[in-house]
Amino acid sequence: MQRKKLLILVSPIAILVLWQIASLLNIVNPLFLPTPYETALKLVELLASAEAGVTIWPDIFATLYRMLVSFALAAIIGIPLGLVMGYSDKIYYSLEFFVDFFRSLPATAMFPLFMLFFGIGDESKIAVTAFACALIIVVNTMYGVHHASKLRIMAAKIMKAGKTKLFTKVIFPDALPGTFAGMRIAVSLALIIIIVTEMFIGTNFGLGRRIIDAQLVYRIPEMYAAIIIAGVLGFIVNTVFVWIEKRTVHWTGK
Amino acid sequence: MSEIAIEQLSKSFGALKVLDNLNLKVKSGEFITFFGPNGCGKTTLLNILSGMESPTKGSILINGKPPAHSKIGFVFQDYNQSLFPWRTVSGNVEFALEAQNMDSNREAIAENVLKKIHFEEINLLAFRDKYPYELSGGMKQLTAIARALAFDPEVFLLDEPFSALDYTTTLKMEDALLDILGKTEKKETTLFVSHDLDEAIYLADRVVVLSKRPAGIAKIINVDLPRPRKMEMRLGKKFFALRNSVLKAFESGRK
Repeated sequence: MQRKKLLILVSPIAILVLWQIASLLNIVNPLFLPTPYETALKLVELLASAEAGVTIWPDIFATLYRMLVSFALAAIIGIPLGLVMGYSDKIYYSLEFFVDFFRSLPATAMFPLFMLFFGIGDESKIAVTAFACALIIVVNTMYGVHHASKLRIMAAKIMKAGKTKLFTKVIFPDALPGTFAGMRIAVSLALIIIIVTEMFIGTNFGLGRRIIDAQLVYRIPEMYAAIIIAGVLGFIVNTVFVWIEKRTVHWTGK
Repeated sequence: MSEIAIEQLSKSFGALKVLDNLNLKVKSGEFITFFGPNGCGKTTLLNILSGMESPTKGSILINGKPPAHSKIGFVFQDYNQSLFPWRTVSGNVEFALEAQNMDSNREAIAENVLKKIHFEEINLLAFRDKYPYELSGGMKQLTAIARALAFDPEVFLLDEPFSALDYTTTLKMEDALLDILGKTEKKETTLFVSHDLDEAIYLADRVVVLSKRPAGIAKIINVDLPRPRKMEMRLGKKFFALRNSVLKAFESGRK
């Protein structure tokens, strides 16, 4: 078990090795791909510095905050909507076009619309992210309801469970693995969209802003350091989420 | 006191006739097994008996009421799909009480039912805090049986409950079921669909042999073996003779 867990190190080590080889052999222009060592130095500097403008912690917290708020909003909107869409054919057919239309569009293409309603502050970034994530949670929760065991529903009906009990005590928990699958995708997507919004809608702090700023002035090691931090952040968030998921819907796949 | 009266029961789905003029009276506390060819309409019969579907013609009355207004304890063949995997054994049993808005005493009632599922080395109470996925197939089905009994049903319906289990387990389950029914406060009126000839005879007071679709009753055979039933009875001449007559009725009904 412990040994298997060490396998997680295989891919980062492989990336570092390939990166180092590429740098040593001068395969790419070092201006656009600095060495791992150079990048690591920058990474340590960004994390260790207390100096405003250098330290990356305010950016990490700003991104994490926006991401978590977006995700929470997406869950609060998406779960109930997915449940009713899965349960009622009428509501499903009424909203099917809306959901599938916006689901196939990149949410980021709708920035102008969201900026129109929510301005250029945190609100529009959070709104566009929550919107895109909610769609994913809606669809997966809905499938969860559709795949709820017909036999369990029948068993509950035979035991004279009323509509409310049937919904809260049978259909909702039976759809929960689907809901969680949707939330797992949504939590990763939230980070992606927040970073993109930070890149394209102005902000003072945010990993997206750090990445685009570094890119624009050719501070390439800093850009990669920020990208690595964003990736690690995503990895941690996902790991925490999977940990929660396993404990909540412990029965899935068993 | 549950008496079931099935009168001139017919069911069609469009042009497809599934049940044809079934007539049967079941006495209170009686154990009936249904035995018939595959696809003969047993599931439809159970769906009507449980109030999930209504007959095209004729009627089923349970103590004078239609099934939809009666309390049915249903045990499905597929325990994995019928138990609530997010609830423990006790939680599953308590659902039968929650569903009817019985909010007090739930734990005590569930415990009382679980205590009855105690036969030889089987002791379901010891597993009360386990989740279904932590149990063997047999224990899962016993949980489903406990849930149905906790519902305090007027009729206890079982749809091939042991057919997914291996032979040794099935034999044990059959004895366990009879043992549990012997311990219940009231004698449950039980309808049990079986696709196993020995099982149909071993459990029953009467075996109802169904004919192929549209299903009618080919023959009703009284099982005059003494109770409690014992494993050795399966080897006796009487059992053999019963087996022959059920099989004969089955063969003639299959044609």
